[in-house]
Amino acid sequence: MTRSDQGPEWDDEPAVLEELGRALGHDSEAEPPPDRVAAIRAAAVHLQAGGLEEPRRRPDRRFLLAGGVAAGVGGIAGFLTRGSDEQEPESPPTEQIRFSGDADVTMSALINHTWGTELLLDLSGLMPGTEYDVVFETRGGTAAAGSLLAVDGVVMKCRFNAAPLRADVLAIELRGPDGAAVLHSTLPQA
Amino acid sequence: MDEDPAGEHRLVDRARRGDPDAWELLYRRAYPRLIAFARRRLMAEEQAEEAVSETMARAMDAIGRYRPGSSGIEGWLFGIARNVVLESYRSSGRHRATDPTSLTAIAATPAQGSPEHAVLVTEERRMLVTAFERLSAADRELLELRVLAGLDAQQVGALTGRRAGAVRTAQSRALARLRTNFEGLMA
Repeated sequence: MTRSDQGPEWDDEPAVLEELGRALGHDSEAEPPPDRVAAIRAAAVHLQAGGLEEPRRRPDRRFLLAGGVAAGVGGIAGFLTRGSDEQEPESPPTEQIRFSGDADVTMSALINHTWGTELLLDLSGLMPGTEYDVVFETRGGTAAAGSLLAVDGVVMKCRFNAAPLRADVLAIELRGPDGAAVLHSTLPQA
Repeated sequence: MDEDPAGEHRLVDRARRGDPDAWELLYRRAYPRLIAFARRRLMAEEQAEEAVSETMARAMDAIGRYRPGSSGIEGWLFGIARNVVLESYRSSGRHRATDPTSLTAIAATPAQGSPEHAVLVTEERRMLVTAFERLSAADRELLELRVLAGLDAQQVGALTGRRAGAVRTAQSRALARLRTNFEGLMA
């Protein structure tokens, strides 16, 4: 309805509203990102697990909110703390690490922060709908770094944080519900 | 969401049972309007996507308490989205996407026709957005609920606690002010 010489047909209210919607960015064909669709579906399965006996059961937000894919609790924290406003020191030391085990790891690295250690982990091939924990093994024991719910068909881009400093972390494991290590990485020590 | 009440009732029923297909359908249907609304109100694209995801998370949390009303499931979701967006920029201290680059990006939605026509239409949309930005916050929200959320006067009334007639009147006045702003820019 836009008339380039005179502007909208102001007497045609529906047409004006339609044009305003387009100008404001409404796109009726907009599609949600596939990884977020997958996360919604995974969360629905957990809602299903609660069943009608627990209609108010809270779905686990981590499935939906972690920066694009079903990252873990640590992932959410990582995403939030890396906002554009953050005044973090430039380029904290990043270290590539290697995992072995039964999952496809396409990227894994550690960031040596002053406040602790952050694990960047892109992976796929885990059992869909299964919850996994990430554990840092340190000189003083183990430290939980977060968890994730596996989603099928996407690479899960996860971020996990824990307080131990990099120098104190000896190994990292991704553990299944039975506590067995699915992925393991022994870290080089200085 | 163009669906008869019985169809919506069935869809909500499936969603309550945790049917992934039902939730995906709800998400896909609501997404174009929710993301447009969130993008209008939040600075970053990622923030807007997060707001839509948070809206769906809260919907899952509350679907057991949802009762069909005059605003329908779409209005209900939009009501959640309004709160999420409000909380988001309260907590983050960020602002609405009113910087010129954002407005340019929005107004640059591809226009149809010849290149010359497309340029003129794009410019006209940019002016329309500028005119819109000069409205009061209340006027902007009323029109956003209509054109982005796709809610009719009754649904907007249910969300904002007003009668449908009052909403219609307020929207007509907001449109009149938008026209005045726009014509002032074009003069």
